[in-house]
Amino acid sequence: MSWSELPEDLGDSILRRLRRHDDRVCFGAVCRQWRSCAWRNSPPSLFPWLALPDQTFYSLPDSAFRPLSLRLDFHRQVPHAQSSCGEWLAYERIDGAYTLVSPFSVATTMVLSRLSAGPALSEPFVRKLVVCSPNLVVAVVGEEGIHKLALCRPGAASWVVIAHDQLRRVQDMIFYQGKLYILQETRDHLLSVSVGEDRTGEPTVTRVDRLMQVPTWGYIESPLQYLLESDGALLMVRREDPNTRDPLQFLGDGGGRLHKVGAGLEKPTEFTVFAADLAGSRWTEVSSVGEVRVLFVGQWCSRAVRVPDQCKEYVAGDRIFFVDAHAARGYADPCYRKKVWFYCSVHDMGEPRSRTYLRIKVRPLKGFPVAWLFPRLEPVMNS
Amino acid sequence: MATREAGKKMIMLKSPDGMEFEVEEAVAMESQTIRKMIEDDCADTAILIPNINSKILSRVIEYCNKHVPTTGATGAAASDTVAPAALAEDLKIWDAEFIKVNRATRFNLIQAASYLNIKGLLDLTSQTTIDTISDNSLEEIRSFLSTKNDYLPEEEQTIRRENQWAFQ
Repeated sequence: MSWSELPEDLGDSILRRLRRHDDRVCFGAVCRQWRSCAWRNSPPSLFPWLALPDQTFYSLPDSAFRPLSLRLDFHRQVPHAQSSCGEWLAYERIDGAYTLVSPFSVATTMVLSRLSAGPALSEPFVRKLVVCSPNLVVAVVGEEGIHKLALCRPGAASWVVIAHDQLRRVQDMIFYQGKLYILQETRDHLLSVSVGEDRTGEPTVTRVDRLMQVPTWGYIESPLQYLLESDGALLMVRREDPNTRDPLQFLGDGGGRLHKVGAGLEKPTEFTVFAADLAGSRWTEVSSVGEVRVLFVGQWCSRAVRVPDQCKEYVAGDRIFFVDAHAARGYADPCYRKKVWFYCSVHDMGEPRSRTYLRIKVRPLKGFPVAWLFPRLEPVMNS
Repeated sequence: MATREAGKKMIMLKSPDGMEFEVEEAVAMESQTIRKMIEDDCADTAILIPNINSKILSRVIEYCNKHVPTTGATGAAASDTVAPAALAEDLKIWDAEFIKVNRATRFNLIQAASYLNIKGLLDLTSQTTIDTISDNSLEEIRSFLSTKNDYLPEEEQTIRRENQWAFQ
């Protein structure tokens, strides 16, 4: 008898006692028998990691978020800021350049040049990044109330900030079926944006089309809206936080007032999901996104994920995972270096109601908003 | 055999190598597996504990003996004179000494704790293994636990590539 021939129940019992997800992965890598034990207990899943504003990471392998002991700084200079654009962590380096790193393979996949202030942009601040192709990255940039688009070719010396009149106050964007779609904060149309090249070969916006009207909203002046793709469809998730009706509370330091983090949980956050009918030019409200599908929404990246068969007992479908609005927008200066509560909650579209899924105290770093980080499904090895 | 105290029911445990151990029922019932046997009336004479040799079984009994009064299983037997906190501290020190055994013995103890379903002992014995996994690289884990790496080189490479973040 040896450790290689670990009886099933014993393996399960040891695995259950391993708190960290990476320890569990390590456990599975020891030998074949341990691997089958690890897979039986927490199979690899497409659920995203949660990057918290204190540079810690959590994964959701089964019934709960588990911390990861990631140390991602060693291969680059200490990042000035960090967020995620889907499969990559976006680091803003001290020199202002951005590196997109896949933590799953720990490889730098793209380097983007520094975004400099200029006549078109007073605050060179990236709010969201979308990788459209290995050759094109689109960003939402600039201060609150401006939110312009900027284009960049990885490796190129500079960004192209788009001055197009219609492309301001961008709330969310998505690269869906080969095209870029944009939602604005106050305007009421979904826009489709075509990107081409100008005579010098620089990327530029060649065309903007107003597609369809966004359904009107209720009592919240400017609700958060997320675009995401689910099972081939383009969805818009509208989120209304009754407790954060005062938009001032979002404005960074909020005029010196401290925002009560987590306050949004005292009254339920409401969600409405719409599916785009691009051919028919209208949005249809949907009450379900599928029994085996869950949505993860956030400013930096929102996606739909199919619940893996092995996780069905832990996570039911028709759920929306979200983080509290304040954390999602980045913690304001007064919170900086203080320990504050962070909440990740899940909204049940069927009931509908929300409950807290992860509640933890963090010491937020400036420039580190909360973001979802989605693993790509690697070819799975038979064990 | 030790002198029995009046009124305490004794249970006979037998190891496969022929040794017999007489223990108080309350001590034996620290094991959920044995408890179930007793409650199901399958323990009239002696209980044979398969797969656990006398050396390991005696250690398991030693553990149960030490732990039985604090669990409240015997009610009034819990010491009235020692503060609970001090008692717990004493137990912790005792546990730490108890677990200072070689790798093979520890593995046998884990197996025994798992088979006999003794939660405290399983926690105690697994913890070292858990610490080994948490604190060491993959190679060190394999070497400390003497597990055989039965992956093909290319499989190992794939695992490492897919999960590089976990092996830093």
